[in-house]
Amino acid sequence: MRISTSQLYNLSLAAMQSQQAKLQKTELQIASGLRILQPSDDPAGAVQVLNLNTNMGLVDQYERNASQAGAMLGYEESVLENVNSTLQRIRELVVQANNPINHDGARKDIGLEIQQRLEELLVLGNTRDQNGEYLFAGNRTDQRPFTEQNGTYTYQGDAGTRQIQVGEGAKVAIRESGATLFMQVPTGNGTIAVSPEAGNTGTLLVGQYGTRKDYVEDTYQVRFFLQGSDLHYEVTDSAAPPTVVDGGPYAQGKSLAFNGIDIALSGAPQDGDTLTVEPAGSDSLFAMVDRIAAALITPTANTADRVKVQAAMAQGLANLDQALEGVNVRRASIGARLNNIDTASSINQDFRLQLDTVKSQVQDLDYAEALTRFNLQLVSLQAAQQAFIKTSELSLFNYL
Amino acid sequence: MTDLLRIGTSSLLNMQQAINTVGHNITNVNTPGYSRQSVTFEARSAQSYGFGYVGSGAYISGVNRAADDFMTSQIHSFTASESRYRTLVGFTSRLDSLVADADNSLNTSLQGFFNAMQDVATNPASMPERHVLLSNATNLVSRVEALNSRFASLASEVDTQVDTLVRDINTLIGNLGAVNREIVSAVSAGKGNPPNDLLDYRDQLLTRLAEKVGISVVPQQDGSVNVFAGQGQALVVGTEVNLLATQPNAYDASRLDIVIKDSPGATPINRFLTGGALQAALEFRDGTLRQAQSQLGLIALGLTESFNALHEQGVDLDGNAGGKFFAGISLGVAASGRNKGNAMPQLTLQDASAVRASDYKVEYDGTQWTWTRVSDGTSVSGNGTLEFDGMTLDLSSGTAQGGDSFQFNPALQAAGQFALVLKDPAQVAAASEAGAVGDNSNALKLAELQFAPLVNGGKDTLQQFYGTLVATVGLGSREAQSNLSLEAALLGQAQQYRDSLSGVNLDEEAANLLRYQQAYQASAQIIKIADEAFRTLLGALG
Repeated sequence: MRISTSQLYNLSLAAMQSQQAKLQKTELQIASGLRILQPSDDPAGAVQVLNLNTNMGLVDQYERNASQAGAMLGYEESVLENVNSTLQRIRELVVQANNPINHDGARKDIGLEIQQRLEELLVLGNTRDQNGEYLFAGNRTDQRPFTEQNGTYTYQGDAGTRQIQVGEGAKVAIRESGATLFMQVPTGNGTIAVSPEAGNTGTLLVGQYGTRKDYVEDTYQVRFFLQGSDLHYEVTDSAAPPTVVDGGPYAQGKSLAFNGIDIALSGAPQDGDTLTVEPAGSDSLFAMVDRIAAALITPTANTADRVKVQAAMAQGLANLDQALEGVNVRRASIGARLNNIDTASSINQDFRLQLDTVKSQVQDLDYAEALTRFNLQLVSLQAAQQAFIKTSELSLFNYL
Repeated sequence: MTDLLRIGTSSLLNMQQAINTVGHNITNVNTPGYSRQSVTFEARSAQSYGFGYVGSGAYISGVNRAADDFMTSQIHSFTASESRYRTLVGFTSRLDSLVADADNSLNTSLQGFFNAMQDVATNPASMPERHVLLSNATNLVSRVEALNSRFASLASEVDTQVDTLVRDINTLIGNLGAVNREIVSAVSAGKGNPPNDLLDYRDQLLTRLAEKVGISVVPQQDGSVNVFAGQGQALVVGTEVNLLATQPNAYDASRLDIVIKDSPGATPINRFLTGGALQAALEFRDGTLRQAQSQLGLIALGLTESFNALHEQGVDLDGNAGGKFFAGISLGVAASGRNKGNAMPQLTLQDASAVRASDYKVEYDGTQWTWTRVSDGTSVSGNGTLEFDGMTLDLSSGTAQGGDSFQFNPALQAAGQFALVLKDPAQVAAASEAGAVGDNSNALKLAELQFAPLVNGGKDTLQQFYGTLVATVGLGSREAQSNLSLEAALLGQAQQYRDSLSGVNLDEEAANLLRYQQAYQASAQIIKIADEAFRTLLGALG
C-alpha cells in the first residue's frame, strides 16, 4: 500500500496519543485507587456503588441509633436499680418496724426515714436524662411526671412510647410511661386484696392469702359476730340481697377457705369486726409508702392500735412486693431490649462488613493488574516514540 | 532538425511543468485536504514518411489530482458521524463528571437528610438534632440547586454552541455557493480541464460542513455540487444557498430551534438535521441533559410533596400543627406561541409519585384533546377534564382552535422551585399528638419516607431514582464514547484510504524530482545536439 508522508506522521501521532490517553487513565486509577472514576466507566457498577453507599449510610445510622438507644435504656436501667434499692430499703424498714418490741418513738423514727425514702422515690420517678427530658413521662417528656398536692399524687405524663429504629425492621422502645411502675401498683397480692375494717376493735390480723383455680371473682364481706357466747363468722358476696357463701363457728387462728380463696388469720376478732375481700385494684406507690409512714408515725394508744399498725405493715409489705415485682419486670424488659439492640447491632456490623467488601470489589482497583497494565502501556508508548523517531529520519532527500 | 529542436524545447517545457507540479506537491505536503497532482504525458501523433511514422515528441495531456469521489463522500459521511459523537462525548463527559463525585452526590445529601431525621426521631424534644436536620435539609436543597443550575448552564452553553454552529454553517454554505460559481467558470474556461486546487478547496469546505451537520453531495454536469443537509434539506443548489437561522422554541423561549432563514414562523427543522456537531448539541440538550434534569426535578417533586403531606399531619414542638417543610411547587402549562385559540389548560397535581420525568404535550385537533407523555408516546384523549400520570388538566377554560398545542415538564419545573421554607427548628413536626414533646411517631414516619417508592410511577425510592439519573448519564456518556471510537476508527480508515491515494509522499516526490530533472537535462542535450547539428550544417555550408 502507498503511504503518504502526512499519513506517516498522523498515524504515529494518533498511536502515541491513544497510548498516552490510556496511560493517563491508568495513572488516575492508580492515584485514586478506584476502578470507576466516572459513571461512564461502568454505569451498572457506579449505580451499585451508589446503592452500597446508601446502605452503608443507613447501617451507620442504625448503629448510631442503637448506641443511643442502648445508652438511654442503660440509664433507665440504672435509675430503676436505684428505685429497686430504695424499695428494698423501705421494705427492710417495714420489717424492722413490724417488730412488736418497738415502742412509738422507734416506730416514728422509722416512719420519718420512710418519708425520706418516699422523697427519694419521687425524685427517682422524676429523673431527667442528659437532654433534660423526663424518663418516665411517656411522650410528655417536658412534663414533670409525678407531682404531689395535699398528699395526692398525680401522673402528668402519657402512655406513649418512643420507638427507635436500630436495624432493618428492628425497632426498640426507649421511652415508656412511668404510670405502671409508680402509679398503678396492684394492691393485695395482685389478684385479691384482703383488708380489715378500720373500725375493728379486736386483734384480728390477716396473714397469707391466695387464690386457687376455682376462684370466683367478687367482693366479699367477712363478718365476725357472737352467736350466744360463741364467735361465728359469715362470708357474703356482693349480690343483692347478699348470699352467704361460707360461715360457721370461728376459732382463733382458723383459716378461711371459700370460692377458691384461702385466707390465714390470727388474733382475736371482736363481735362486729369485718374483713373485705376484693379483686386487687391499683394504687400509687407513693400513696402506699405514704400510708406506711403515716401508720408508723401515728402514736398508738392500745393493743388494737398496735394491731392496726401491724396490719398496715403487712399490707405495706405486700404492696412493696408488688412494686418491686413491677420494677423487676420492667428491668427484665429493658434487659431483653438491650439484648435486641446487641443482636441488631451485630447484624448491622456484619452487614456493614459485607457492604465494605462488595463495594471494594465493585469500585476498588486491582493494583497488581493496574501496575502491570501501567508498565505495559509505558513500554508501548516508549516503543511508539522510538519507532516514530526512527521512521521520521528516513527520507530520500537526505541523499540528494 | 527543427523537429528535433521542437521536440527538445517542448520536452524541456514539459519537464519544467512536471517539476513545477512536483514542487507544488512538496509545498502542499502538509496542506489538509490537498490531493497530490500529477502530470500526464502523451506522445504527439507521429508524422508519416514513406518509410514509416516518425515520432514528434510528447505533450502534457493533463494535470490531474489523485482523488476518488466515492472516498470523498465516505469521508464526508464518516466525518459527520465522528464529529457528532466527538461533540456528544464532550458534552456527556462533562455531565458524567458532574454526577461522578460520590462525596458531593445527591445521594449523600439525601442520606444525610434522612439520617438527621432519624436523629430527630431518637431525640424529638432536643433542639440540636432539629438544627442538624435543618442544616442537612439546606445542604440537600443547595445540592439540588447546584446540580440544577449546572444542568441549566450546560443547556445554555449548548444553545450558545448551536448559535455558533448555525453561523459557521451559514459561512460555509456561502463559501460553497461562491466556490461552485468559480469552479463552473473555471471548468468552462479550461475547456473541461479540472481546476484541481479549487476542487480540493471545495472538498475541504464540504468536510468542514460535514463536521457541523451531516450532508449529502450531488455533483452536477457543470462541475458544481448540490448540498443537502441531514434528511434532504437543500443548503446549496448550484450557486443558490439556503441559510439557516435560530429561533426560540415555541413553548420554551430559553431553547433555540433551527429554521430556514428568512421564513418567519417556519416549522423548526431540528429533527431533519442528522449528523455533525449540530445534531449532537440538539440531541444532548433535548435528550440526556433534559432527561437528567427532569429526573433531578422528579426527586425534588416527590420529596416535596410527600414530605410536606406527612409533615402537615404532625405536630411541632410548640404543639402547633406542622406546616410546609419544603416550599410548595406550582406547576403550569406553556402555550405554543403559534396557538390561534385562547384556551389555557389548568394543571393540578394529584399524586406526585405518578408523575414521570418527561415532557408532556397537549394538543387539540378541533374535536378533542390529546395529552401525551413525550418520553414514550403514551397518551389519553377526551374533553373536559383529563387525568394522566397523577395530574388532572381542566381543559374548559377558553376556546381552543384545531392545531393548538401546549407543553410542560412538571419535573423540570419542580427542579427550579425546590426550596426549604421551614426555618425554625421547633417547627419540625416530629410528634403526632399535641403536647407530647417526646412523641417521635411522625418523625419516624418522615424518616421512613427514605424507603417509600415516592417517584416514577410509585416504582422507585428517591435514592433509587437518583441511581437511575446516574445510570442515564453514565450510559449516555458510555454509549457516546463507544460510538465515537467506532466512528473514529471508520473515519480514520477512510482517511487512510484517502491519504494513501491522495496524500503526498516526499520520497516519491524526490524520486520524481530526480526523474524529471534527468529528463530535463536529457531534453537540454537534445537541444544541444540539434544546435550542434545546425552548426555542423552551417559549417559545411560556410
